Amino acid sequence: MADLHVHTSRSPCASADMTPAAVAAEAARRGLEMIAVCDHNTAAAVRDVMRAGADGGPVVIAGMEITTREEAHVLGLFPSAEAAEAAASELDVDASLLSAATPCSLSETVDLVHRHDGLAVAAHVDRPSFSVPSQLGFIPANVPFDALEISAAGAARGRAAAFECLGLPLVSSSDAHFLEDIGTGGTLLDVEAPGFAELVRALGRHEGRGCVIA
Amino acid sequence: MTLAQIAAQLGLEVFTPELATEGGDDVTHGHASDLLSEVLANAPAGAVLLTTQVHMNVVAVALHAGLAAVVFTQGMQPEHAVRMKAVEEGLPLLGSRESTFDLAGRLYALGLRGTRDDAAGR
Repeated sequence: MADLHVHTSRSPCASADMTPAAVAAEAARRGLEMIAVCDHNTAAAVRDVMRAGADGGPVVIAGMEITTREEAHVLGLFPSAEAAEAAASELDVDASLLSAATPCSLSETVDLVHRHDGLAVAAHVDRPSFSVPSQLGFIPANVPFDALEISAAGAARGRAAAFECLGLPLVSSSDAHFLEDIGTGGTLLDVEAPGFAELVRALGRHEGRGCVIA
Repeated sequence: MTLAQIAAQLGLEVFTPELATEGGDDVTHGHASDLLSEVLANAPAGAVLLTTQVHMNVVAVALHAGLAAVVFTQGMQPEHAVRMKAVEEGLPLLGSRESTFDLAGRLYALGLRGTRDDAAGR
């Protein structure tokens, strides 16, 4: 089970007790095999969570929740902390206003993620705020998302079905802003072992891999 | 008041000169929003939309909602691809350097309103 959208205290809106060590410990306690650290427009906490989780904790994917110019949230999931940090350095955001919109349009954001070998996931597409559908009315067909994320609450209410027609893999995650929310949403990955390369195969349904909302 | 008259009165820039703004139905309603999901849900058909949202989706949303035209406020400029799509679909795009608030006020003064009578009180 993977929770691909977890914040840390680096996000201005997340609880201050979500330190890297606390996030890694809570994810391990929840029995998660993989988490992605996705703070708003920064990858600054990624290495610390990776270090904290290195001793028997979950595999930590380097991620970021990017706010596009249209104020839609897009998750970037990257093969390494270096890749995530390189992508973050291109966002040109004010460190004191981390969750504000970046100058990147939706298409530019997805392109940025792909240029750094990442996966681009439209975040919480069932939610009425800061999602691609809420900002832009619908999910544009010409933006090459790798997956769509359904919020944990939406998945529990069966909202994923409405997005199946788009033919994109669906994932769900907690979008945890509080420690106790880590793992309250998740995606079951049918993979050899947790890790970025296998995540790519699972979303692409390559070599018998797959994924399903938990 | 036709779209051409509104454009002249407010000094709007016309991003789609290929499309006629003369003639056509009188424009009697307006809507202001940057959230296209909200436009789909609430904009009255036939309205002009005031928005800072220049993403390509604004064209499809305006067509789906049956809007008369889109006016980009605060000097926002649509990309070439958005302009070409609007021309292809017959949706006039206009622009103004004024804020959404000021432009909405001027449209109100010209007699435009935000909801249709049959939609009032919904």
